[in-house]
Amino acid sequence: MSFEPILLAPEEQVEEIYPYRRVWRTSWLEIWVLLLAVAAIWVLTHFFGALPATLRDPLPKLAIALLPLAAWLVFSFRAERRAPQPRPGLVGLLILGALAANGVAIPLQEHLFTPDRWLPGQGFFGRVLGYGLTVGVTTEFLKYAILRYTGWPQRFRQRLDGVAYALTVSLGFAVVYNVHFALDPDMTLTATALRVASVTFSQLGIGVVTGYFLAELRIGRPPIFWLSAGLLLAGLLHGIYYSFRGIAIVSGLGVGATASSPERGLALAFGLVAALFAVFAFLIESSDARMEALTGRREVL
Amino acid sequence: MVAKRRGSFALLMFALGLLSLLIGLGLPLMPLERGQAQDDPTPSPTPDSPLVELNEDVIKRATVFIMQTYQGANEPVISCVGSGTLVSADGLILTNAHNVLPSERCPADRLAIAVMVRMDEPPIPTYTAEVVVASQGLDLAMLRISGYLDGRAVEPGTLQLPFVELGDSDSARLDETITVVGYPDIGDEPVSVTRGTISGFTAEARAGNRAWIRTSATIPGTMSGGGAYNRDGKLIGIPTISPARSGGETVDCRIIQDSNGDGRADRNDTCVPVGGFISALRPSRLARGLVRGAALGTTLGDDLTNTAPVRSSGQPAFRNLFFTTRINEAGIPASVVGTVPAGTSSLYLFFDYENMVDGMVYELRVTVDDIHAPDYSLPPVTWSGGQRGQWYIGSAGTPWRNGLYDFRLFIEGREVASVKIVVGGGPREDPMFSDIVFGVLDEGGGLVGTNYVLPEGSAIQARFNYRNMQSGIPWSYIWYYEGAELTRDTANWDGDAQGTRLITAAADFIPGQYRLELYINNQLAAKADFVIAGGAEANTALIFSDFRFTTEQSAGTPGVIRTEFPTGSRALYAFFNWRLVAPGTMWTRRWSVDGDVLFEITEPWDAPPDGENYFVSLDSLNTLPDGTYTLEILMANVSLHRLDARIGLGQLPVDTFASAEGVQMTGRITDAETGDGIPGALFVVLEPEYSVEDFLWTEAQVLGISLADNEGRFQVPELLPRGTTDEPMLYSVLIRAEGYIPITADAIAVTGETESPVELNVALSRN
Amino acid sequence: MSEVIWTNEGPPLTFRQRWNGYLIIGALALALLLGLTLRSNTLNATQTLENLEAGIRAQIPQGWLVDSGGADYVFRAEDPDALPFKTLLQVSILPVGPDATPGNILYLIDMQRPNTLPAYRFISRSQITLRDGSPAIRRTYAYTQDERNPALESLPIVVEGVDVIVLRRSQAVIVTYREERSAFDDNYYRFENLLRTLEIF
Repeated sequence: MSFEPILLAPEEQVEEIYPYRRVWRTSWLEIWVLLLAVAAIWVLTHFFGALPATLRDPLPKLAIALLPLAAWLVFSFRAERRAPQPRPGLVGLLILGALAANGVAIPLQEHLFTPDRWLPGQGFFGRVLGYGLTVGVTTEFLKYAILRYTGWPQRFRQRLDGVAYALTVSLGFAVVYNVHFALDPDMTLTATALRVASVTFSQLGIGVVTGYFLAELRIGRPPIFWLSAGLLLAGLLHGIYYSFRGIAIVSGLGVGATASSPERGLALAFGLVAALFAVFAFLIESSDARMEALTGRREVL
Repeated sequence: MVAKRRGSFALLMFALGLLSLLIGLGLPLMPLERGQAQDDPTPSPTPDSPLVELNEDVIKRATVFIMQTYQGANEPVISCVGSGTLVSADGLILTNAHNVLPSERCPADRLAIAVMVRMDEPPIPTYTAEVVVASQGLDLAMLRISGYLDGRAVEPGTLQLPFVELGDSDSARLDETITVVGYPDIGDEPVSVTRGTISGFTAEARAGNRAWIRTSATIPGTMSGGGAYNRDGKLIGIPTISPARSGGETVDCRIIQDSNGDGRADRNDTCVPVGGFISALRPSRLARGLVRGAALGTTLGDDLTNTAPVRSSGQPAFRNLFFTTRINEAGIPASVVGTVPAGTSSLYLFFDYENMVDGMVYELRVTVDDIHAPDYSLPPVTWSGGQRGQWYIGSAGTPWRNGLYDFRLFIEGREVASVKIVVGGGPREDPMFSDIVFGVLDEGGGLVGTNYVLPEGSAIQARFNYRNMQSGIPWSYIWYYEGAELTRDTANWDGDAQGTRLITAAADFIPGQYRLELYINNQLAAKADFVIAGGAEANTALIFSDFRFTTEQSAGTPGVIRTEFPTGSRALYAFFNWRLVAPGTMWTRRWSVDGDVLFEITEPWDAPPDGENYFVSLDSLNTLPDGTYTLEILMANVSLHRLDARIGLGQLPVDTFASAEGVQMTGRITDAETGDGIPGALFVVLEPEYSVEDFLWTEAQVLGISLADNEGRFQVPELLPRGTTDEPMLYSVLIRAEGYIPITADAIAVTGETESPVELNVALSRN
Repeated sequence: MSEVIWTNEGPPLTFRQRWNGYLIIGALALALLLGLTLRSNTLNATQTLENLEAGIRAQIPQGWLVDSGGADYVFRAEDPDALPFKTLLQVSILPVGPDATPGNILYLIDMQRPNTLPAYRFISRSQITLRDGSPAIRRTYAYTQDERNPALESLPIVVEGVDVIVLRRSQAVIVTYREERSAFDDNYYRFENLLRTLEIF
């Protein structure tokens, strides 16, 4: 006769509550919101004519420029505050990213690198290297420096932390670039919207690379040229995106009606961020899974 | 489970991302070339619409608005306006002489040229121009654009303006559709295009059966000087209205500015005449020589006597009006008719004139049964016949309807002569004389010699045909010398009913102009003029001899005599001797180059009757172009001499007259994102033999370049030559602007069917 | 559940982490060096133009549109990308008499230019010495460029220009640089390159 207790109620399933904000999920939400908003503007202007094609009012343009920030606040930041273990200092990183973009990246681009003057006439690989080795590496180095000298290594306890922080800094960059475009009086609303999407997606997508490399340096045991490789990879990704974007948008000659296709730039940008998110999600997931198998944890203490 | 779901979500996103990348890149992947032309920009003609040959776009832009201006009290004052047509890319304009020559009614010290900028807007005053050559008689003139309104000079060779080519006005047909282009108003209207048909041709002396093309189109007076085009888009006529006259009848005169500076624009100020409607066009054949001369930079040079025609003090008059239905090649009426049977298709009114001046306004008003008949009339036009002689106005080719015709001639608005004739009834069987010719008898009794120019000292014979004569009918003849009666004789007819007859002149005739009149029953039956000049040589008149060409002369003495001269000669002189030419005898000299007539001058002889080293010459603005130059001397419409001289290669350079054929490439260069034009963007079209790969950025490989304007619009000034449907001309283009990815395209095909202009809209993308 | 205490001090850096930090700076420097070298090579690439008949050899920027067939100039090169005015470098030769001075040449040019350049304005004139020691006159001027094609509507552009005139035997060699006012200083180095590489033989 056993004296096991008779259970009158089924066993309670102990659900593990994920203590952190789900970075990929919230970031995807932001991406989709921006994509849908920009697509809606484009469709309304070009297919239904509900919005004038030559709308150049600064307020709507500013609104679309700040939409990624609003989406981040609504989805990522709110989720972060409500998570059991919120990541600190996100707003500070956002602000630092914006300041670095406005104070360093943009002046360097406009006055030292001046890609407009010498890159358009180059061939494809010339543009990749030219843009990547100037604007690209500078942008990503600035993001790296902000992350490195604020919360690294203590705030990087898991790989996803790197992604979360890097996405925040990148968003700060993107918002400043977007506001610059929005304040350009020649840009139409549609053009601004497409640019906003393009810049935001590329900054977020490539920013993930920097975040991943920094996180891996904290958590894993990569070789000493790890960060350098990451910087060059991220920089060249900027160059590759820049080159492909030019080809995607350019339309050639048309007789009679114009035949430009800036919407292909939108598709390319979304494709870039989707691909990068997917690839690094996969890499992080497999590294985390391996680490969990070895150590039983997905984070360092 | 959760991990699996996350994994498949990531996979889905990755796949989606890859798909977006592919869409973004635009299959196939890895497009390493910069933008390529994706559409074939050659539109093929729709099968049911006829091919448009008339390039209205270029014609409209080649039509200019001319304003004669003078400096008034405070500002330039417009005195008279008209239209003109660009006939060369570097700014030669064909127009009426009265549009450009200053006169009492149209004082002017500057000609302002307004050109069309936008299709649907009035022209914009842009240039100033100078008269290169003007014929007051023909009322045609050539201008050259010489500067901008701000006083700056135009650098030679920098203008690339749209222009038209002259067509063959002799091949124009009755009822053919013509398109008339010009400006109908002063600054209010864009260029106007009117269509009509050719309703007839008016004949005049010297110009022949097509001295005027008549049309049914409604052409407002300010379109005078514009162009009338055939179906091929070639200029075949210049609408011409008589010049406005001070104190004369002005139909519509607009007061538009305060020309006298008194602070008010009222009747005390100059008004701009815009009145009238045009129904007569000067055929382009008459303008061809002027256009060619201006294009080659060649002008008539000095001749030995070089005196301006003396303006006679007498009253201009027309006398001795008569009709004929046939004119022979020498311009002599076949016979004189009093009535004309029904169905006659040609009728000419002949008259003698005196004390006329080239540029005077004359007019012929014809009524049929008291109803005005514009097709047979000649509206007020300028006189080109010189001071005195015999003239005719008529029409051949259109049937003359039955009725009582009243012909009234006017000079400067004043009626000076009139005559009536009846058209109708069956063919007449009245006795008639016709076809008077003159000559000398040879040994065999036949008539030989040039028929209307005869040597001095021989017995002059006149031969004529007769028909329906009856024995006993009184007939007479009168010989005139220089308008005064010499001898006359009357007799009763004693010959057959029809045949030819000879009359011998009573005495030897001295050099001068003669006339023979034949009468039947005291009615004028036939009339013919002839000239005695020169000495006899084998039954022909030897008037001019010993022709020599040279390129220099001093004090009437020729320089080196040759027939072939080196390139770069400035002038060409032709020297010759003459004998027995009575002063006042009309003679004609005609200069041609490579077979095309340049200048033709008919004037009375004003040198002594005999002499040596008379010279006529061709001059040039710079140098005479290489070519074979021909001088032809005529008298009484008979060609006496024809001589050639060669300069340089003996042939005009191949590209002397550029073709207006070709396609204009135009369009807009915009920013792909904003849709705004890119001012200053560069559009380059390469010569057809080069592709983009071959381009080394040298000007020699470039056919044409245009920079985009404020709105991004560009227009390549050079026309692109066409190919054929089987072998189209393929052009490569490059478009560049700083900050944008350049676009290149090869193999833009231009064939015979390609419509001009070809519009290429290019969107450049920034990065 | 468990509270995590965030501290400002992190764990000490490992050797790999430290050296990664140093090497990334080096990588940045290297990348920027390469990138800026690429930029410099592209912007400053030149090609040699030679006209043996006129006895002129010079270096002009690569990729510029070159016209060697003019009556008034030996060659002229324009930047096809520049907006809205195509930067111009030009060398022309004027035969002059044995008594001509550079000042005389300037007079001739100043008399002729207002006929073709709208709103032509002389600005300054100075004596300079070229790199090979020969004296020359440098003169700056300005004018407005307008569109010659009446069918297009462009706003006039204020163009600033520099001529350097040097006498060589019986010729005056005039080296010209013209650029739109706001970009004049930025592209002036191209003119200096041209002057530096100009050979007259």
